Amino acid sequence: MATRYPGVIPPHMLKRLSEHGSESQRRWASSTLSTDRHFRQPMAAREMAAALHAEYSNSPRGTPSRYIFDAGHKTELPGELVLSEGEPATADDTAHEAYTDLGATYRFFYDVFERHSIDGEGMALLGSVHYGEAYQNAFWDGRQMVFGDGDGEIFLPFTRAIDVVAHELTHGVTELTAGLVYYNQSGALNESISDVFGVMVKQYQAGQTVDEADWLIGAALLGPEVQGKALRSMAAPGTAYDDPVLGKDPQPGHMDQFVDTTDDNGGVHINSGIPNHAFYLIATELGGYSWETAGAIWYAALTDERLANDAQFVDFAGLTMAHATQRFGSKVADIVQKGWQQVGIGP
Amino acid sequence: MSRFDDLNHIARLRITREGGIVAAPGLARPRDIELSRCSPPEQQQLCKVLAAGEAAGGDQACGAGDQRYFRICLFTLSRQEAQPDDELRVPESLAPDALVQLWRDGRIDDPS
Ligand SMILES: [Zn+2]
Repeated sequence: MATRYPGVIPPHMLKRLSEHGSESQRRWASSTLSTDRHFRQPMAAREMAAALHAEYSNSPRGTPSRYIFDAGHKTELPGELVLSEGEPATADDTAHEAYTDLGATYRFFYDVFERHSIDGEGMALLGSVHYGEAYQNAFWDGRQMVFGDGDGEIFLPFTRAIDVVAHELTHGVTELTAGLVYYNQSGALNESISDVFGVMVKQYQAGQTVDEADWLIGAALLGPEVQGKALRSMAAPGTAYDDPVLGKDPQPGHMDQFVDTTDDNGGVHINSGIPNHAFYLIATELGGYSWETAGAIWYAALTDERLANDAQFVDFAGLTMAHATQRFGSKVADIVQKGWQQVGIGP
Repeated sequence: MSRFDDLNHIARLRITREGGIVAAPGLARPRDIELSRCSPPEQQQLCKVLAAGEAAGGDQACGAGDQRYFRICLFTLSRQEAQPDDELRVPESLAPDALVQLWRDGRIDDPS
């Protein structure tokens, strides 16, 4: 039986980590260790990532620190370093896409919320492209972002969609803030937050108002063969695709259709449609740019210490109403409350 | 020792691959295996694959941040449908090749 081992860590990097790792990097490393110790990943992979973070998490506020690796169609992370912060564009389009999309996502979090990278303290943005063979996924592994190439027919490279890249980076932000447990409602909330910030990054990048936006997630990575328009629709959950290979989009947009399942960690990518739709309703009712009011409220709720890691939809909704009142007054708070009510949450 | 050393009380296995940012229902591709239709050597192979999955890091919370995972549900003789009686989850990144092949192709080439 084949066992997969990651590459050997360059000794100079391990040394650097132990000698020069900043307080925040050590804190990050220990929080990552405690949250994912159950993965039992070979220790070398974790140490490698910690060494990379120690080496590269050093940019001044307002500047990202991006490092893109080529996994060479294998599944060992991170792969070979092919593009470093500040270097001219590489010939590899996919590596360049990851670099520019991560930069745009950094820019959004910094310009709009003054958040300096994933941990707020300049954490390096590590991304691996060309992961696996025709790999139909992108993920955040607790240390870095990973992007498959897709198969070319159903899915194009996962770096093609900036909202998907931003979705993965946001998983890092959520892990280091609310730490929402990836199961049942708190897991669906975790997923929804990644979709909400993913869609805002896409709209911010395109300069779109709520009325101009399509409110789709992952539209740009669907290949020519798919019968559908995206992975998810925040405006109309459950309508993104209906395809012989993918099946039918299972997302509900209201608590009446909440899916009680043990699949997908209790439907984390399914029931996320409900808070997704609430965000859409609230942002479109408020008008203008999504990030200015609705996004500011969502970010305040996500980073509020009162948000428990096992929060339910209603708990998050309550915090958004509190922040809406505090920051924007009762008129905005009423719109927020009404949006949640329209998806069946709250009084 | 593994709790999958013997599957005598199990009637059926179901293997799915779940999670990932796409998480489309069609990508789970459930693979059902009726143990009564497997020869004793085949049953032993299945035991080995499950034990290897368990040893590779199974049985834990997995899936966070869109990481895909394999899920093996075990159903006892007495209950054909309804809830599984036992369950094993293995992160995709740690899954033994034989488990991936069993899910994908419904067979195991390498019995080792
Ligand atoms: Zn996700």
